[in-house]
Amino acid sequence: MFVHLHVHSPYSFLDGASRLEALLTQAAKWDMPAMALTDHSNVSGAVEFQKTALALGLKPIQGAEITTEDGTHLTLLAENRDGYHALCRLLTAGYAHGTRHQPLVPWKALAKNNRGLLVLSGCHRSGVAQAILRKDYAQAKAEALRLVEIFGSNQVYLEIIHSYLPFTKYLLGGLFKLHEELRIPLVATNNVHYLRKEDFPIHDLLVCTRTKTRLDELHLDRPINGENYLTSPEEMKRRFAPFPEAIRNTLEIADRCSLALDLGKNLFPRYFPHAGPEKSIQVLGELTWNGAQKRYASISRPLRERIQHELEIIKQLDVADYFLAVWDLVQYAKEQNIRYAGRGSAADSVVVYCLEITNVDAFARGLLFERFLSLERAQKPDIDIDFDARHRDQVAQYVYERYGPERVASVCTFQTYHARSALRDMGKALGLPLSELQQLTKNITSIPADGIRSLLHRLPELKKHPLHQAKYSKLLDYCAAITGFPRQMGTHLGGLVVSGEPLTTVTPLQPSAKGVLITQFDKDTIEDLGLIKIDLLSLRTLSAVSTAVNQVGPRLDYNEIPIDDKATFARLQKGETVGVFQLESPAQRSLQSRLQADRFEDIVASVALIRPGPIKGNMVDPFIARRHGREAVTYIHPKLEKILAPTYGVVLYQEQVIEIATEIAGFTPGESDRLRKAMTKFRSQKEMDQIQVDFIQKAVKRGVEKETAETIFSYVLGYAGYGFCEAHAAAFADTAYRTAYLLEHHPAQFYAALLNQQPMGFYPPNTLCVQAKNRGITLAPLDINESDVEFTATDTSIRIGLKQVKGMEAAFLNSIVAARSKRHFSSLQDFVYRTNVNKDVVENLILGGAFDSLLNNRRMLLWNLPKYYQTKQGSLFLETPTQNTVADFSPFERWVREYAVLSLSAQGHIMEFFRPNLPAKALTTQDASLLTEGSPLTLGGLVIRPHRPPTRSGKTVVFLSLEDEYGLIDVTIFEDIYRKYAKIIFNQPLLLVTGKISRRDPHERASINATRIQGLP
Amino acid sequence: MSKLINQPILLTYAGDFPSSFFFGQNFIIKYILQHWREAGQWWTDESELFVYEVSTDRCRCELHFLPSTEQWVLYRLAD
Repeated sequence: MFVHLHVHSPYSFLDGASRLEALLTQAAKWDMPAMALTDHSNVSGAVEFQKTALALGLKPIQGAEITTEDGTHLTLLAENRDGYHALCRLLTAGYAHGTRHQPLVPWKALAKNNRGLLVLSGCHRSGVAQAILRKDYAQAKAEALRLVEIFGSNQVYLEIIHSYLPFTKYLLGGLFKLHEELRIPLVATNNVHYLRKEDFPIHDLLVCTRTKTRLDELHLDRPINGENYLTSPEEMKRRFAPFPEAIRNTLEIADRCSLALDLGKNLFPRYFPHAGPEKSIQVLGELTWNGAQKRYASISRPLRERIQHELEIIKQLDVADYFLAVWDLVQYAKEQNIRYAGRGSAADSVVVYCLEITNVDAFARGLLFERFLSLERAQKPDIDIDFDARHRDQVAQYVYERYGPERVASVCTFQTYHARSALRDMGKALGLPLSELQQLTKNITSIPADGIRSLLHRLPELKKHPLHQAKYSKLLDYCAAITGFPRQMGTHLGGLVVSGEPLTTVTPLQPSAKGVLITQFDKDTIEDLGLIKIDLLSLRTLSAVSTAVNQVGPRLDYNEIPIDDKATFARLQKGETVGVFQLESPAQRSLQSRLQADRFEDIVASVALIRPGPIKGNMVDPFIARRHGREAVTYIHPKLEKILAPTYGVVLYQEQVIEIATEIAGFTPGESDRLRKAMTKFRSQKEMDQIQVDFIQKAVKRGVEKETAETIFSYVLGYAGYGFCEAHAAAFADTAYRTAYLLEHHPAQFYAALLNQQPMGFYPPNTLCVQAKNRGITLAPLDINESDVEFTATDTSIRIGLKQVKGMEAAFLNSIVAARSKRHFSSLQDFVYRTNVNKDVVENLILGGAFDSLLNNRRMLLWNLPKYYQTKQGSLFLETPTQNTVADFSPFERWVREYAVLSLSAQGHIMEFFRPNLPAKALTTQDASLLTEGSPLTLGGLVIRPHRPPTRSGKTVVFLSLEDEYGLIDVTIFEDIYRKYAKIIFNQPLLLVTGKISRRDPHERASINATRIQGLP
Repeated sequence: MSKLINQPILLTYAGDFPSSFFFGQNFIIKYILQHWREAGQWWTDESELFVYEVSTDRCRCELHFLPSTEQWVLYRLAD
């Protein structure tokens, strides 16, 4: 028997070419008792490795292949938990000493962190091997003795690898000589990088990607042959026939190693470090009850019981400290006037509501606490909080300072291979030129890399895509092979972990591109290690809210916005919600007009309705019909009435699914959660089939007719693929309603705030400007003397801000503002002389109209500009501007250029230029909005956001909006029309669409069902 | 000095080990000095290659064995 002790997985980033599960499954098939994982400078795969190995009956040995400060490799294995801790500290030290891309572990750090580690001398890049290959036996001996000195003679092995490389015979001879002389035992490995020999090309291509070489180029890191596969025990015995003890020693090492990862602990710090958990739960209780006094007029018995129930679960799960920590950082945000809003399943908790972390009354809404936290699942709580995007980092900094930098880190993410990235990297390695790669990735959407072939056959616009050619067949195979492989590590947008003990005992820390320290585990695996993530997210909507509220001034109290404002609901009912958080997409605008929302509950339902699950499950139309009493609300079983009454008998929220499973089938909370997870991800039909069997069996046992149980489960199934909980919907609905209020009552300030926070939301800046103009707001042009850095607003106007100009940088803005504070600019020349804005950006300012008020001839200004730069150093005198010796751009050219540098135009809409040439019958969006169902029409406009969302039928339907000078109209393009005009739809900026008005009910906003599409020239 | 030959040869074995080959005259292999494997230009469908650096009774030679065709090639002769 034999055990592989030097194995790389895809977590060796662009080196390991086979999945952990595949490697472990094969090892299990060969009855290997154990396997080690030794990725380069990280343990990112450790949790997955341990769980998978144990499930397959193998002992996992955690390890890593490190690079020392002198550039040599060393294979380290954790003999026990101490060894794993030492490994984490060493890897962290490596990143601190080396760089983000090349961590180098100092020898001093090795000497300091030597407990619990077994050391294999390493591959042919090790210090020992390199010295032997240099024929410097004395140095090789010194290198080996250094390892013995640091780690102890019982901990060091000489690693022998026979993978048919040049000089292997010589190297093995040298290592054997050292073994004889120093009595250091030998151990055989195969430095495994892939499962089978035939997987070698994938490894080679990944190495090419890592080394930025093409296959036909040489690089020292390129492998010479394909022998580093997961060799069978027989093959290893054959290769190492002269060294049987080297095979035996793999088993000895496996025997010595114990489980190094301690999963499932709670490492969250105690809020009161010198007191026990009782103190935390006591204080949490006090804060909660005090909060409840503020939140509720009186505390009823059911409310008291609910709070007591939640506190009891929090106590039993020993997570009170987590709640206190989140409460604490929210207190900080309040003190600093940083706007925030809790969201996610945490809004299912009354305790969280009382702590003012969320703004959703879970008790009044009857939300299920167990969706957030339950004893049976005993999972870690996960509280997500959105902060004003401008200040999120300030809150994060507070957390670092509060707990100490050695106990806080950002959670990493793994950027994994998808279709486009795989095509790009594999194509580059194969030597395809950039222009060809651009063609190959064109119109390939964000799908897994093993789904490209099916996409090519599914989408009509890809019918003639070059990837259909036979010569790209292997490229597609290579892409499929690396699908989901981690390509590089990134930083989670909001996730911070806080630990009670120094993080480097649990996870190595390494710097991100921005310099913050990140864990080597992502959000899914970090919890297994006992760390709890706090999600501090950036939400630009909250930034927009803050700036809008500031611009409006003290006459508006955002927190006291009335929840039943008729004008706000009237706006929602018209579907005029561009800019409203969560309610601005075409589907949402259409829903708003059909739903005729007149209460907050309607908004909560809206947020949850326009999701793939309800759309595919055909829940939208019945919901609207029942909401308006056009369809009777019936319940197939009396127990459903209590659960589904608030949503008119329609299954809309995750909480309802859990309650149905509990009430009808008697599922335990754990079983219900399994159902929820299976539905949310819907990755396995097999798992869902099994849950269905369980559900029906249990329901029948509880006296439910089999047929009824089947029908009820079909409701649940209709929901599959959808993962929205009511608490989250309610949290979002709160912000949605308040932003709708701002849009209704303070549109100029709100639109200006949205424009300042771009990119955000569904629509581009120009659409926001068109909407603002249609509300009667004047869009004042960019003006070098009048424009502020940002968009500014009065009640009736918005002035374009200087930062909107393409290429504008903070230093240029500072320079402009400083010069202007002394006196206004009198001419372009004056501007050039008194600021240090670079010429390209000044050109953009000219094209954006910033100097129109000084000389209204943009071409002339451009003409003069080089001269001003030439004379900037030499001349003290300003010339008198020459008027119009060069003819200005035509109005159309001015518009196009202005749009190119500002992404919007103050001059009007592009359709104004095209309207005279449109067919006489062509209508405007304003005309079209008055038409009735089925009316034929032709309409031209600028294409906004064409997209293909999932549909109920599973067919491809394209939705886009056409924008003209009067507003927006939404267009639906069904599959047959889409197939005919796919190329035009996605490549032409302006379209002339012929079709019929669709208006399913009189209130619905008019939209167009397209029958013919032409591009406007 | 070495001379590039790159000519197919017939090789005889003693057990599993190469023992001699004929190239104008008989070369008796005394030792295998080195042996390694090369993946070759797999992307051009070039097959894998086994390389043997051997010491013969006449000179050092580099022999190539192509497992896909089971062909031996005398690649290089060295002084």
